[in-house]
Amino acid sequence: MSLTVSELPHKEQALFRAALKLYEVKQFKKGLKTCDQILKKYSSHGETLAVKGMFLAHLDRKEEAYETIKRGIEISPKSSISWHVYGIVCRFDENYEEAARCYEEALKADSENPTILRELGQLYTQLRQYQKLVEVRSRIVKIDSSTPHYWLGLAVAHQLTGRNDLALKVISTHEHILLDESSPFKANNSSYKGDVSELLMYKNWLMELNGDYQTALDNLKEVRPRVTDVTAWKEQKAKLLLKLDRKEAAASAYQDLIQRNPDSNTYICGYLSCNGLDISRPEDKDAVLEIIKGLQQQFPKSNALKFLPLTFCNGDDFVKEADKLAKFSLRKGIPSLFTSMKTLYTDKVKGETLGKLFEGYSSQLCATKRLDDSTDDESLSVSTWCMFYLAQHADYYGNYERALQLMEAAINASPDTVDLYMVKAKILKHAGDIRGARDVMDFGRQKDLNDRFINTRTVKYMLRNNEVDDAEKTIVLFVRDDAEHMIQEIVDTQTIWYMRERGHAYRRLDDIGRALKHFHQVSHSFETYHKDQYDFHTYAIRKFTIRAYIDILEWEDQVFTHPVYVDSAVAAISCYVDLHDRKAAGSPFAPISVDTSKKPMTRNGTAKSGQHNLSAGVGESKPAAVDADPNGSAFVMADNHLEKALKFVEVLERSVGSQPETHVSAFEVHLRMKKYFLALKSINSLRAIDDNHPSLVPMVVRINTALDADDSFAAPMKAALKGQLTKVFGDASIAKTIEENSKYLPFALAGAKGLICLGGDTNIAQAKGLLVQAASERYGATRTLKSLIEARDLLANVGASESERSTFAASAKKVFSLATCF
Amino acid sequence: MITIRQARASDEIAMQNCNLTNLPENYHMKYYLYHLATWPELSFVAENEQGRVVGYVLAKMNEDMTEPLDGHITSLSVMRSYRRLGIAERLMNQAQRAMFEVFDAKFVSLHVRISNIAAFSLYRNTLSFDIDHTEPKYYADGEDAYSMKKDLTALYSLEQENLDF
Repeated sequence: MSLTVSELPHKEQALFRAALKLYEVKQFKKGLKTCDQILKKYSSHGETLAVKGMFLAHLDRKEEAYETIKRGIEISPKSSISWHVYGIVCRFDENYEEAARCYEEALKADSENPTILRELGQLYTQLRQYQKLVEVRSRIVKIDSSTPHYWLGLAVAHQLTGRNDLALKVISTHEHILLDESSPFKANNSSYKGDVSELLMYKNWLMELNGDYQTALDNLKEVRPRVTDVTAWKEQKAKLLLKLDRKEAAASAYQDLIQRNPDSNTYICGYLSCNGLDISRPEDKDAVLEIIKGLQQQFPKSNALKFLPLTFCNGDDFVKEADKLAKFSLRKGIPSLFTSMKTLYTDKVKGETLGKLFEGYSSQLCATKRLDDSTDDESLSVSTWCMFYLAQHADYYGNYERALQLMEAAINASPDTVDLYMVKAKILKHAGDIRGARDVMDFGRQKDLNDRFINTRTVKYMLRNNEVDDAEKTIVLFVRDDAEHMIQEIVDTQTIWYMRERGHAYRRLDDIGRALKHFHQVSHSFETYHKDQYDFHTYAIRKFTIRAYIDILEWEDQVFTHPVYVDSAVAAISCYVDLHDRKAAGSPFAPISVDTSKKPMTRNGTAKSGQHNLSAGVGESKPAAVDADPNGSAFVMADNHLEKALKFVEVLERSVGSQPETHVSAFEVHLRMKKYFLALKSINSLRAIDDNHPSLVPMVVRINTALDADDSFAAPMKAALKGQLTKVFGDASIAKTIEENSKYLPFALAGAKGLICLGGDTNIAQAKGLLVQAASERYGATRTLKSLIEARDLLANVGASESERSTFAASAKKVFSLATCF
Repeated sequence: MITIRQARASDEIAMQNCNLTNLPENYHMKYYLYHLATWPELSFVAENEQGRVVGYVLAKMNEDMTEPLDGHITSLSVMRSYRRLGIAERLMNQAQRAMFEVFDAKFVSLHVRISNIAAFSLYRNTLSFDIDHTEPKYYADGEDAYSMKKDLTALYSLEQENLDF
């Protein structure tokens, strides 16, 4: 019946209110019972049905929940409560678009309900519909213009739509409510001081964004007594002074900041700008060096100041500064010395100079046990760290044998220094001996079983060696003992590096099901990262941490650009494409069966220590499921592989459009789905990033071939597409592009891959020809280990003969003599 | 070499990775976000020349309203390959000062495994923390923790800002 709640008899009204209260304290079972009591007498009371549905949803009876709510809405379509409840349930299921629609409906019947408005604001923020957010928050402020987090929320909304001026206006109009001596928000409010400070700093930032630098600077002076974020205030002062070209005052401000943190590159470079100097301008070098030396005297412990001169000095100055830093670091025994210096090696001269410098130390120490400024014999460790540096130097230039010799010497001198084993392992990895690398890393791990860092490295190296079980046994050594399901714990703690590496290991083992499972787990972690922001849309504003909140929003917009996500998404797409291709070729991949000797592990759900779930409460944690699909067969047996791949493609295209892999991967899916215009779009996007990308021409040839072969595609559209391609790429040919780039292995590989996809005896033969020659001299330094391994795998997949494969292997071993993978 | 700066949202995945790599006490991303959205001034990271986060301190104010407002170090970790640069000390110094300036903290406290000699030495000797008490079985694996504490009021004082500029 479409009676509103207020039209129900007294008893039922009270029960209804009680039910809503029970929802607030998360007593879902009791709430459900209460609703049933009402429904006993009024079995088709719309609003009660809706509320009952809400309880059902939280008790994991989803289908029933939605049915019940929908029935309730059918009966009472104008009821605000019913739509609000429907919105809540959609939101709970993370269906934010649908939820927003429900909330808008709810508002129609109750347009001034602050709860509905506030929750709708959260939804619009999550959906990034900022204009709608402004509208919603404006309505809240109209109803209640004094509560600070309402007008503050409106200011934020304006800023998010790019209207800093309007944001400022809102704050200026309302700020007195908080700032006045007589403010009602002062009493009994322990966060008052902090709230005021943030409001003032936020406002000042808006002034800066609005370009009103002088106003902002004057304002900054005014508000200092009430600002508690001293660092931010000082940074703002320095920044504004510099923007106003008040160089002397700015220099003094940066001096003050450096005093507080002499290891900040930002402060140091800021200070240099105040002196009109630019670290990248050659003519400024001497002046910059002098200033840095002055700062070094004031702040002798600063690491940043020690290193900075090496980045811009040349010639004798460089040698002098490098010598100073090198000696200091060798004597102190700083393991990361080479890692720091490595950034300088892009300058060939600097790289060589450093090599000579350390060789010099090494011979001197060997002969005299001293360096040229020693007052006494140097400790033995100095010579060890010197060899350690030289080994990494040799490794950088690909001289793996020399590098390993040096590491041996260092290890002999200092067999308990774990860092030495870690780097030796890394060198072996670079040289292509992954088994050796893993052994050395594990040996180092045994030296310090309490250290998780080396455990982590060892696990990674085991996975690179495809030892999935050993890696698992090793990583669980550091998983909490009381986690009943160890592996689930690793997933739950979002150990994305491990899931990604494990996925790749399974891929190499050709266990596509398990590989996909892991790439999906990575993806799931990132989806969680993205959803995590939801509660902060209201939390941060209440807490007056506005600047941090805007920072969080900006990060979330970019979260999928993270390399671990991109890599996993690209890998997942490749797996799905592979599954599709095998099925299409008549030999579908079969999931690899479970090892039945392993017991399935279960775990009861408990709130984990350290987990701070803002919306968690009593009764909300669900028990973790037993791993229902250990070999990933659900992924393998799905009959829409390309559709599944497309989901990843969409995220990449939307969020990671600036990276070539996005479009290379997307193309594979679009082409197979015969979405030729989308495939063309991928080609154009790739070309916009790199118009000489090795994959471009093969992609063009493949789409042309596919178009020619597709009789069902309309002729005029075909002509249009092909016309566009010819206009940009001319008469594209794989052979031609390889010839034009004959010194670059990536072109040969991309060409070979393209030929393999095109198929047919001639193409395959051509591909084989290219691959067998992949380690030829003419490719020079483009013969990276990764590329040669790729060539090896392609040869195996394309059915090359034993002799072809061994010819290739022999030539690859000439390039990587220590490699065990050829 | 290494630059020390305030942590931002875009550092969170790297901080989580550093934590998962080095320590057995791990947290969900939401917990990191919670820190940054509540006490953004208190957490810091160490960044190497290649822009990678090689160390972090995740800090907060204690939330128990019955006690005076103290700072608390939730987690501190530096990648092993970046030792001997005083990174931990620098991160702690920045966090401590911020606790005092921004939140009027009088003390800062933290927990450390009784077997972790290196960390204990850092806090006790380099940073002048004292042992306040021992908490039995504080860690998930049953190990005891020292609850250590440091008085901040002796270290810092409210400076007079020069507003003549």
